[in-house]
Amino acid sequence: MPDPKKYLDPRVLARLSHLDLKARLVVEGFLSGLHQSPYKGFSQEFADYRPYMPGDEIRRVDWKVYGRTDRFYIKEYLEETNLRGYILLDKSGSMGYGEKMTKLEYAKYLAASLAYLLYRQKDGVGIATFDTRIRDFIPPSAKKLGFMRILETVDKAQPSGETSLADVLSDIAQKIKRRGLVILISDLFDDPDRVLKAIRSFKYRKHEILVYQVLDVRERQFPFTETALFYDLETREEMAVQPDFIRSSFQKNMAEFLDNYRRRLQEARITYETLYTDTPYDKALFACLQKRSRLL
Amino acid sequence: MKFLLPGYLFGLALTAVPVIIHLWYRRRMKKVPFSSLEFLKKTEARKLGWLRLREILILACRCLFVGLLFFSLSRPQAGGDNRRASVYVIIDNTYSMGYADNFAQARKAAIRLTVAYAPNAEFYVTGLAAEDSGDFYWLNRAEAQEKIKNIALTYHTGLLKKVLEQHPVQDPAYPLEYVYVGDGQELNFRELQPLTPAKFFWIRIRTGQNAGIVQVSPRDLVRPAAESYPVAVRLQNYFSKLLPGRIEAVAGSFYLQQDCRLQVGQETEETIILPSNVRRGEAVWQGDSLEADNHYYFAFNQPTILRVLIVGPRGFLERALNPSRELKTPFSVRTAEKIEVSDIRSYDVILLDGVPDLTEAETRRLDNFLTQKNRAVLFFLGDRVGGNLRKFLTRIATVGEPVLPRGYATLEEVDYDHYAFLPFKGTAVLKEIKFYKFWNLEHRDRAIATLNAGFDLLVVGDNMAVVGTRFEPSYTDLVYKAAFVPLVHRLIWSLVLPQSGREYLVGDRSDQLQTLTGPRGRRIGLNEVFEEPGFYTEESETIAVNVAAQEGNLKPIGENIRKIMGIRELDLDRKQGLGDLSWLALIMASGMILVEQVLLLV
Repeated sequence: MPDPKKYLDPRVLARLSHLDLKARLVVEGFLSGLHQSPYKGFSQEFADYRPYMPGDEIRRVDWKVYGRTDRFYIKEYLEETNLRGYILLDKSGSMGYGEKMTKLEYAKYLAASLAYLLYRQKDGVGIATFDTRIRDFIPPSAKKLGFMRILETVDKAQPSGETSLADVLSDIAQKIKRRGLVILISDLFDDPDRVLKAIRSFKYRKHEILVYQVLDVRERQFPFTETALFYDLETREEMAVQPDFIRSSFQKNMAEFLDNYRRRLQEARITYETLYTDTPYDKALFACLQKRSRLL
Repeated sequence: MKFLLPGYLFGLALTAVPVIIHLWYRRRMKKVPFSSLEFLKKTEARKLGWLRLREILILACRCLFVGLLFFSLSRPQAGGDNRRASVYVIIDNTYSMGYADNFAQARKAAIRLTVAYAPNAEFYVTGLAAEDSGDFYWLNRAEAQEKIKNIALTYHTGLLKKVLEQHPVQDPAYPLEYVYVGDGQELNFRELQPLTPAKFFWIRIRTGQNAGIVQVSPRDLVRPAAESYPVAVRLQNYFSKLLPGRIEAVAGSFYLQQDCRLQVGQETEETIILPSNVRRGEAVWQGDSLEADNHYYFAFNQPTILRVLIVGPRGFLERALNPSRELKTPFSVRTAEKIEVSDIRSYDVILLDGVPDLTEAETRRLDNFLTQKNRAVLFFLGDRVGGNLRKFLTRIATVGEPVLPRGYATLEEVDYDHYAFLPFKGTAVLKEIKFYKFWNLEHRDRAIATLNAGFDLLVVGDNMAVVGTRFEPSYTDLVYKAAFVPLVHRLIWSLVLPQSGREYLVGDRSDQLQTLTGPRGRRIGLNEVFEEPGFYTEESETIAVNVAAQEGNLKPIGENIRKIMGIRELDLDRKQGLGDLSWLALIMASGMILVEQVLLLV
């Protein structure tokens, strides 16, 4: 029997081609790992009929339909909820960094998985991709068509342009009127003070914020050895660097940079996860579910 | 700023090479994408700033190294007053400039001098020593530098006066300036008249100190024959300190070493004893820097025994030359009645003692005899002097009438510096000698002894001498005096020594009829100049040529002479700023490499 949890491993997922399939595998793999999931939602608003499948609860069989058609149908309802999920995907040039899997690819899988998770939960989910400005914005929708548009948007996202995270977040904050779950997926390579200010502005508008900082391990460890010409993926600027000379202080400064985000976001009671491109997705999904439960 | 070798300045273009290598290396450097250099720059601003600065500094060091290297090779000269002048440059190439590296310094200074003037200045360049007169022509800077390089150190001495006379200035286009480059020895400035209104500069090359051998000569050849003989070695110490050292004498397998101490500022005479068979060799003073002065070549060509023919009646002369059988004298004496009966070619000296006259044949024979080298004839005038004899003697003296003084005559004037009288210098021995009969002589050449009656007694020429009397008791009482024998001996030797004992110096012309072979096989013909010291040989004879001793005195001209002559010292460094910057540039280039290495380590 195949182990669905293996699909939580980004490296395995990278071999698959269809984004929707990836998202489904991730989420189902994640959910099947949970015992007694409390997140099975019910609603009074009718949505659709579907044929009875072994394992469905008997009490969900629509006996009236059975009386008329002599077939077992299960009556499905739209979940009644106020949750609207907004996935903010950073597709700036710096997100294109990565060896086997770029940060953006990882972020795209993550975004698709989160979108699918919310969609599975019958939550409305939308997405905004951005670099220096908002490139695509899909308003939240709980319908399959909406989900498919999200996947399409995620799929076509390519790394480009420079980061202007703080400004973009401010713009998005202006656009989102209703309270919801805002999931920011970015490397957060911008001025921390301005970024944090923008993130906090969501908080002020009563949104639940979830910040996923996606990084490549090499950005943390700087494991390069030979002198090389490093070029900026955003600006294409070149700089000769002797890694041995700067590694220790680079690591120290990077740790301070991350710690600064962690500390200040915790202070603001904002969930913050640092995800390296080899980190399994369950950590991210679990954080997402926790946030969702708070809103329900 | 001027450059002696400006061609090397093209090499400055190579300073771009490190930049090109740097850029090429950068192009070849692996390009690594990174998410955000901004973050790298922000987090590592200080360190990256230093690394970038370090990289630039290393590159700058390398560029500067290449640049300074070629800058140095171009021989930059700082400063300079850029005067336009017609410059008469005299480079001292006398042998005293052989002290240490003085001559090399002089040439270098002269080359620097040429760039101290404006590019269109004109130059005349000559060496101080042994420059033959030639065409006078002005040179441009490059030609002058080439001429300076071609001037060689010589073993000659030189006189500024002579050089200026041989190379008189012609048509200077600009104000004339004389520049002498050398150690400024006094002897080089002898008889020089002030050169005003022209300026006269002296680029002073440090004057060394010196000590060396001035002369090596037999102490006294007129002595009994023996297995060895004393040789006087005269040394001069120009140092301002007492100088211990040693003399060496080398002649074939013979070697002698003798310690001696040279007194300050004076001549020291040392005696070394050489075996009789050692007649030529080399005396060496050990421990001095002016090499030519340390060596003295000697070749004593004087015969050890003179073969003497006495023509005339046997008398006191024969006895003077052979006092006894036991006592060996440096003479081999034969007597004869007449010249005709003897083969006179086998004799060195002929004494005609009271011969009344010469036949035509005798005259011819004597003439032939005197044309040979190292031959001499000495006449003692007796009671009669015939016409042929008088005529023969007119070469050196006119013979008048015989004189019979009332009583006797004594010597009035004696040339005590003459070899014959040298032992009697400072004594009254010769003053007591009485002369009873003598001839009225009147010298044509030189009289070395005159009588108080006003008559010449002893007249000498190149290889002839005439005594106005005979050395017999009826003529003089000299024959009974102790001075008689040494006087006769020395008189006879004095006629031969000037010819056979002649000393040759570098710069002298050869008077030898045969071609001589000198050091390194160089052949010298008649009237050719000896260019270097050493032995010059022909079949039967070797002559020694040495350098002029006075050049060894490295005493520079004094302040007074400089004032009189209007000579101003020219300090190129002071006058032209920093002078030659080559070394400075080279040191800076080395410094660049050092800094680069340090930066690579940091």
